[in-house]
Amino acid sequence: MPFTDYYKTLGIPKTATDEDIKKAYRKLARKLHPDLNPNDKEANKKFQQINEANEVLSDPEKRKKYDQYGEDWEKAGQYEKANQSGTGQGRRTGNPFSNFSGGQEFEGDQEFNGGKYSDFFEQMFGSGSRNTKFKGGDYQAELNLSLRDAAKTHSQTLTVNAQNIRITIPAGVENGQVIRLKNHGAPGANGGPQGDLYITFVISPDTVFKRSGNDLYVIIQLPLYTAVLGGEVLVDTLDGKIKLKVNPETQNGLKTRLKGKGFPIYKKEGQFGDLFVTYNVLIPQNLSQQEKDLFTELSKMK
Amino acid sequence: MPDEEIILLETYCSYNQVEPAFLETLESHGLIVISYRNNQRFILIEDLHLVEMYSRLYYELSINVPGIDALNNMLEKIRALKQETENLKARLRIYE
Repeated sequence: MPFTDYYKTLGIPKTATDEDIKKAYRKLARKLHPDLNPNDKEANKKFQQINEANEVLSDPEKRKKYDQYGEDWEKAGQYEKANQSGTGQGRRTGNPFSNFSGGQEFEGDQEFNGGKYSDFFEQMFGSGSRNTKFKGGDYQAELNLSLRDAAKTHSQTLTVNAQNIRITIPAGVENGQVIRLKNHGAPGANGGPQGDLYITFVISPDTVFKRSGNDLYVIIQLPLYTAVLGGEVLVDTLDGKIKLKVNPETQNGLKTRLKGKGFPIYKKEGQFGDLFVTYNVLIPQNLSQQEKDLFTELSKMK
Repeated sequence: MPDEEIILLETYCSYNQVEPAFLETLESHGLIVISYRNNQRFILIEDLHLVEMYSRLYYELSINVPGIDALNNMLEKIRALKQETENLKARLRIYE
């Protein structure tokens, strides 16, 4: 467990006054506050660090203890233990960042842990204690969906802190779209309200379709003879394959639009974007001598 | 508007230890909506997360309401730019 230099965290000297600490903390908090840095895990981590530093340095008793033991924090743990058994006070659990109530907490995918003090802090000071009611922290989670799952309204059950939450995901959600589930975040401190759960949808790329907004794009391989003479090809759509008429003399790279065959529009039932089909004309390979002769003959006609 | 979609302003302020004047200032800057019924003031439940965010910025970071308004505009711009970036990335993938 490494020693944490709280003065360095706040960028102040050890001789800093209470006012210096307050100023340094406020300046950094304005820069790193989760409300001003949505979905920025790095900023949130730093914000927790400056909170912890402020918690210690702005409290004269904690600061004194921190200054006294410094890097010998292990001795401070023994001191704390002795102190607690002497006064009969146990450690308290709860929202450690009670001075900053509603800041979002950014955790890894599908992890739902509350904000924490560092091990260093807990060793020296326990988990902190305040009596004011505060709202619990907000949880962040990512929900991975395939493109085809995102194209249909369906339900999923999430497990958050051993509690099952069933959510309905409307067709047409965007990659990166966030929904908020109220009161499914961390428990409040001292009887305060529960935080919220923010779910970000991460839609994985599809092997057949590319999506841009509500439109879908697909590339189909078109045999040279169909491109030249015209015909029909089968095209993938979200509902299955459809037959598409190909005009004679279709050029490579030509794009055609199938209206209403794209992605469902979010919360607009029965409305869809378009499907854009790009033709990739295939040049025949491994030609027989007869085919080569015929192509030669054709080339001489022009 | 059904009753369950609003909360009495005074109740909210007392529970969250927020001054009513702060919410009035937010309203005057167009940041939240206060609805009036039977001489009582209510805030919309759907605005609560905004009120909570503005309260944090005001009480915890000492940012005044005009500053919150400016930040709100900047955050909106960031959100729009992020969305635009995502859309452009999606379009780029079409050509990959």
